[in-house]
Amino acid sequence: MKKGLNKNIIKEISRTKDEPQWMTDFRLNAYDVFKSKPMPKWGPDLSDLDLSGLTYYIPPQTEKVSSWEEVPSDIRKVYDKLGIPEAEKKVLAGVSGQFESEVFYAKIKDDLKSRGVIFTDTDSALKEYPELFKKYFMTKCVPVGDNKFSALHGAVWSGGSFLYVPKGVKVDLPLHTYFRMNDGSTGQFEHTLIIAEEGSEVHYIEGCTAPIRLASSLHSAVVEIFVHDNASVKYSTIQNWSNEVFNLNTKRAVVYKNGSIEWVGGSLGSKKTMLYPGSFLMGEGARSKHINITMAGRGQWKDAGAKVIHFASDTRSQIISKNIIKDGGRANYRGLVKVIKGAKNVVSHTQCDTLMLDSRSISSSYPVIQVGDPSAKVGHEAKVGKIGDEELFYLASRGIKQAEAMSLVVAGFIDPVTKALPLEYAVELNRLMEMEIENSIG
Amino acid sequence: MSETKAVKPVLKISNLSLERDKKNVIKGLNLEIGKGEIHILMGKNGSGKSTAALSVAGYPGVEIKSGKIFFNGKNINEMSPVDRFKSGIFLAFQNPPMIEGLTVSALIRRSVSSLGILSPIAETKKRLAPFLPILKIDESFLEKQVNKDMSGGEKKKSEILQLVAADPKIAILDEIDSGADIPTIKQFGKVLNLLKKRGTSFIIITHYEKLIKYLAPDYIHILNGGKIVFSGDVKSQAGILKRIEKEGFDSFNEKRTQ
Repeated sequence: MKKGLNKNIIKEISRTKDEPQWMTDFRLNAYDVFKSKPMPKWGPDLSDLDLSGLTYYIPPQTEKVSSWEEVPSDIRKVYDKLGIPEAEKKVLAGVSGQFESEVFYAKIKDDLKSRGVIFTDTDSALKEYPELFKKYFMTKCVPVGDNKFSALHGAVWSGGSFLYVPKGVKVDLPLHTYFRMNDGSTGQFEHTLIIAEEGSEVHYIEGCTAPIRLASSLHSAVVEIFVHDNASVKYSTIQNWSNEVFNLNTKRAVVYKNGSIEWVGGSLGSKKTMLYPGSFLMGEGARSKHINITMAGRGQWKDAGAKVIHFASDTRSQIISKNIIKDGGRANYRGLVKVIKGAKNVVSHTQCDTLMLDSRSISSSYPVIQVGDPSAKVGHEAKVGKIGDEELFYLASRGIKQAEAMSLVVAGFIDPVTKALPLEYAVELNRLMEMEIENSIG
Repeated sequence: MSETKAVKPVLKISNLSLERDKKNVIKGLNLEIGKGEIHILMGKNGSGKSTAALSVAGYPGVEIKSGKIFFNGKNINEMSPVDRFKSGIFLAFQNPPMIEGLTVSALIRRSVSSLGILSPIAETKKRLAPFLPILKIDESFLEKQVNKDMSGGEKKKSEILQLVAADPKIAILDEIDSGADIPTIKQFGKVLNLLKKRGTSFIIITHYEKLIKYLAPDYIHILNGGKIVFSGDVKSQAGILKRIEKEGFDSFNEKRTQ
């Protein structure tokens, strides 16, 4: 596929994927919306993002399979190194893997399949479950026109996971998708759609990594989650992009009566990140919890936070944001908590903590709170801490070397996040953090 | 000390001059600490006590202008703080900093591991066991975050606990008694006397005689203007504390060795 984007390229993507006409039209319309919208004027400076120099779609390099043995050895090697096939055996209910634009592997445990759980790639879902797809895809949760990058996503989306959990089904093990971007100057636009029907429960984990690349790449995913009455969804993600990647995502959950969404995120790497998972609490008693940790190092600019809108009474939200900055990195918290007029007895609490590993790094906080109902209790607290020479000397005087000392302090700081992750991922997150710190110490 | 010790001193500070924040804080300090000895270092605020303590532990903010620090006969001027700890020097901080997220037990375990002990968990347990009842410490204290939500006395207790786990050859306690109440100071006295019997040496920096009362110190030194102006063995100088109380530290304006 050629670099850059125009209607012919979009048509070609749709044709290559053998999509129904409505999706081709959907993409073309999204492209018009994308062109009509200006670049965001807030957040990180995106002027160094060359949208015309990107390749927006890479056709599949392999057939879709459901056995690791059938995965081509070069791709298999990458996933083996990450321990994915091993983890699938032990701790997961299902796994999906995406390399560049296309999902190459998807599997779910048989008993879940028989109970009606659908876990497949989003492209297959378009063809196999057209009714469900049309009802939920970029309609009520993240419409195409939500922002410039959601519109771009609508035009060029490819891959991602589709997860449907029927009424009353509780999935006890997490389902996991792993994305990987290997080529420079590419865009990855996976679309994840999760529908949890009434009274169902599921934990979905997404891991995204990119190896070191020189040319810039764009990752612009959309995640849409529907949490129906009394359902509960936990969405966890650990992202570790290489330092050239622009990571501009739109993730949102619509939560109905007494439903609950929990976002757990660990964001490492990337050049610039804009990420504000949203929870729209539509039904009475709906709850949301956002736990996010970002690390920004040299040349990195993270603009992350959360967006919670309380549309209904007795809704609750909690936001815990933890930023770690080092080597002159920049990390902002940007959050919106909004209580719509008439939504009674809303309770919301935000906690933003920043840990600075040196004094060259920059941290800012932009919390916006809009309360439309006097019965709401909305709280916000922010804290900035620094690992100083004093702490490092203290730990050194107890036999603990600098790199280990920093890792210890960081591990303590991110404890609320690691606690919310399954053990394997908590270990992985700690390990990634340690590697980051070791690299920065040299 | 003017008399030559029969055995080689554990710590020998020889003609040490130190700068901190560009100020010459210590001017020609001499001190020798033998095995199992308790030395009390007293002096008014700003006399250089903490600076001297920090320099023995290797604090990078204190610069050695001249002189040498010997530990077990080896010059440690250039040794890193981590290696000083590993070789058996322990500093209990006057104001230990908070380390969020790290529990006292985890810190102690790591600290003991750094000593190259093969089974640090079992060894830590063994080392702490005799002292937990004396210090009246239960499990929940060990699971507290280091110096977070702790009273002044608890912070000092955590320092003492780390000290017994480290089992050093020499411990420097910088105002271990400040912020601690009398019962706690009494507990510290018991712990330190036990360690002394095992052969641990001590430099104890203090303003008060409370702690001294519960200890059996061997020597007392008074620091003034960056120098030791008085050194004496405690037994023959029973009146020294009274004199400090009555006349203050300024009355010791020249070095008198007795």
